Amino acid sequence: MTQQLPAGEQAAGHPTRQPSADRTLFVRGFVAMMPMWTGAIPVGLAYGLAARSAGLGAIESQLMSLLVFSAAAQISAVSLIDDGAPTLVLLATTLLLNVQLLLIGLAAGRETRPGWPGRLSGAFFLTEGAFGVAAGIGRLTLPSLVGAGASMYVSWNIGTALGVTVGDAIPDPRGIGIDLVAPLAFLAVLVPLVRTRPAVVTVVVAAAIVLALRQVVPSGVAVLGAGLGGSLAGAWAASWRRSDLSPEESR
Amino acid sequence: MTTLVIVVVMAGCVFAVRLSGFIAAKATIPAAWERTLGYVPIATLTALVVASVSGRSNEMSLGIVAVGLAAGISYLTRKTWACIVGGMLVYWLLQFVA
Repeated sequence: MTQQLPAGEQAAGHPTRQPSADRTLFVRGFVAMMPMWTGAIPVGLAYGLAARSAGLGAIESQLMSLLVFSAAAQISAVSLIDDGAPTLVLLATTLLLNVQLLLIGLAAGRETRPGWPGRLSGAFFLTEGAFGVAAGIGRLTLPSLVGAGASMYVSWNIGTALGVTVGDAIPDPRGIGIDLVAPLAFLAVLVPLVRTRPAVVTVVVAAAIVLALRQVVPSGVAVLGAGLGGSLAGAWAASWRRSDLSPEESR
Repeated sequence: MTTLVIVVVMAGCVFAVRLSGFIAAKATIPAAWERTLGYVPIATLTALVVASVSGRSNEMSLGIVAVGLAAGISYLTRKTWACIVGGMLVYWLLQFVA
């Protein structure tokens, strides 16, 4: 379903919309994302718990959700901080975990072709889920993308606040195994992505590499090596099975 | 580097990745690169899960079982909360039994 738009041209060569039409599209994206809150809030809660368990302050934990807004990057960061990994390794892992957003940003940019204000707002709220939901409710527009992303942002921060609050109420989080929440949260993000044989190859090779590398290098470096090796193996497997699509292509 | 600085630098990195897609919207990426980039998150998440649960104390052998069963729960239900809650319940049950 698409919105009837008034005529007009922007510098970028795309039709302009009245502010009321933009608001409607924003609200449509925001509301369409709300069913996904049931997935985002538990992971946000898990992140909040893991962050407090790793020794991050309540404000630092919440600030990370407000500024970074990336489940995988945040959970990996608290896990790596907990392991005492070097900052460079932490930042490299953050980039690796979000590299797919480059591809999604390319697709969103090609479809919406926004000016600089739109690029900045679209980039801040860009997530895989927001892109999928906004594209699923009609022709992809920047307001619907930002609306869906903002909806996810609200739920992510609610989940984080809940996790930080619950974490504060637990006197000895590690004593009851709360440090297991981080790998479980990774798993909750990972499993839905493993839909094709090349993805399975990626998982097996990455697991084997990280287990081997951990014997000789620090954990964070092993994760980086496995991230690169596993993805190359997945791409190689996909090139042998053209009928299987990569996670990005199948979207 | 303080945690606060790390948070701000991380935010800058993630935002730069997101923004670069919008900026380079007209660029063409070779198919092989695009295919490889698509598998990077899967490989990195796998590595993080395995690194988190391997090579730790005996307590973590219970964790490995719990994570394995949670993977099954996640696969069957496709619910993030079921994966996390199910995994923790299995872990606490194993701790109680062991």
